[in-house]
Amino acid sequence: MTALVKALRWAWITACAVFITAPLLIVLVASVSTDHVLTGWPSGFTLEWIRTALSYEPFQVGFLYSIEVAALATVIALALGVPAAYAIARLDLPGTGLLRSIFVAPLSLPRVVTGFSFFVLYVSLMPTAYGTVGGVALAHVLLLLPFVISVVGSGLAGLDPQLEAAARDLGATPWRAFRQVTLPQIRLSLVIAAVFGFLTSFDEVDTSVFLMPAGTTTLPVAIFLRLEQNQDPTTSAVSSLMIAGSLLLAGLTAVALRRSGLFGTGRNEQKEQA
Amino acid sequence: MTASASSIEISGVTRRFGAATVLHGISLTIAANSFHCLLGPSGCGKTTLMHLLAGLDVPDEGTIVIGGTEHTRTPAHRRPTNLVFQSGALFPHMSVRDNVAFGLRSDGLKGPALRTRVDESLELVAMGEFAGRMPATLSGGQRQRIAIARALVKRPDVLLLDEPLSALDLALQLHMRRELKRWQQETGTTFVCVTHNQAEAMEIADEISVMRAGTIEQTGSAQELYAAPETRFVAGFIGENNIFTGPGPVIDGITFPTPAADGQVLTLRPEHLRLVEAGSDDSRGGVRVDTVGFTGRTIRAGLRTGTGRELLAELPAGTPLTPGAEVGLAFDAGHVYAVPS
Repeated sequence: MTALVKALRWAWITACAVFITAPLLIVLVASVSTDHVLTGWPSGFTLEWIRTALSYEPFQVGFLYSIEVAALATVIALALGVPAAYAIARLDLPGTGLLRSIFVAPLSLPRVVTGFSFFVLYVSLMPTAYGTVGGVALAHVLLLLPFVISVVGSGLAGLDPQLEAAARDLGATPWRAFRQVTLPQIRLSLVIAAVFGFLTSFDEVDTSVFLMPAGTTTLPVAIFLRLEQNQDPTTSAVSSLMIAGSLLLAGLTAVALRRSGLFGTGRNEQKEQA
Repeated sequence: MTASASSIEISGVTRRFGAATVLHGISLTIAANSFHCLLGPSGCGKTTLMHLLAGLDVPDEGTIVIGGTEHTRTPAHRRPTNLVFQSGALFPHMSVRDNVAFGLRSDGLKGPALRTRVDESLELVAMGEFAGRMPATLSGGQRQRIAIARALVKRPDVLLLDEPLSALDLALQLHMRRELKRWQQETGTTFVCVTHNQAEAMEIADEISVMRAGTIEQTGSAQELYAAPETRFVAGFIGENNIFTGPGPVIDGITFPTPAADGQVLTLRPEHLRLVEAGSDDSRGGVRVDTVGFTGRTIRAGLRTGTGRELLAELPAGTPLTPGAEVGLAFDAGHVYAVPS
């Protein structure tokens, strides 16, 4: 490989990295800058905006509300998605191709449309669901399910179906075979589906905005509503906190996975064998 | 470690997958305490039959009786059988000990009793020192030993083995054949083994059922199948054979003592052929030596008749042979077997 090709490759990678991180960096800088509107190099450093964001009540309420919605949506999406992925992967059902298409269909639906559909549903048939944690979470489940089914499905696809047959042959009931043999081997897929499902729900605006009254909203919707009225860097500050929180959660997950040996097991095994 | 053995009676078992019939009314009795092999080429239905015996599948017709009790529709976890999968199917996230203990835990066994049984089983397959290892750190042969220990620890009436040696290299296969035979004798369990390897079946089995296209062609000991095959397929599949098709008594330039009856072919084992001087009194026809291969104990000679037919002869080591030589073919009349074509 010539030096030029090498240099071009590095330039390309750097350009992509800058493209991905630049918006995040600008938000981070704006949230600690003394300028009301960042138009150039920041004129000073302050934690004022972060303090304001942390003490702003709609953000505080929204944060807890978002946690509740995301947790509930993730649990329901896993409870529905794992058996569905298992059925598609294992059972010899007619029309599994069609089922798979149906399960990923919500991905192609604009989220605004999803939100509006649920709004119509709640207003006309289930008025008590509007504005509740359960109502918002249920709409989020629709967004998370395709993701859960794809991730868990690909985890299951990599498994030897004979392992479960062996467990049953050794006297395990189908449930015990699934719980003790299959489930532990798709832990990685489950953790990834749960973490990213949680983050997707936590960050969701487009669908959620239809399903909550202005007083009680999730954190991203609260940010959206505040931004409509006030463009001061408090919004940047809370965004920075969300970025940091998301990165922290993803990082902690990666560390936990590495510690539990779910990543890089191949290398450990080779070492043991040697 | 002993187990109560049981005979298996399979009656009129048919299995269809969609439009394809994989097993056509199979009937077979397997004696208690015996080592039985289901032998046949891939696609003959032997693995399907094994899954029906294990309870991982249900026949469309027919019955399966194990130890005097009908088990046709009993699910796998309630049968007195255990299956060793071709891949071993060890649980990769469990240690060797936990793998072997899995079945006993399903039965509710705990504590010292569980430990003793697991140790006993690991000792039987000489894997006691590997109890703490993870399956990924074991070699193919070791994994297969653990798979067998995991199945035998349950003391099943019948141990089913699905191509247990096919993933191993030849040297290990030869060693494991003797081990399998020894474990069967030590435990007194009925072993039913699926294989496509006729040499393996002949070495380990008390009785072999040769399967072809969803039917059993013949059941018998290795000696019976070898000496008196009842069909052309068995004659060709068990050991090597020269098969002569035609009315006779002269087929491909070779003169046979008696002609083949209608619907029959004549068979001659390679070791029953002798080479004599062309045109001598003993010669039953002239052949040309095509190839000569030394195997250690014997010489394998590829021969060609005047009509271009290829034959195989297995001759004593030291027989002087040159490729291209024209020789006479000789054999005893008693070694010619007529089988249905």
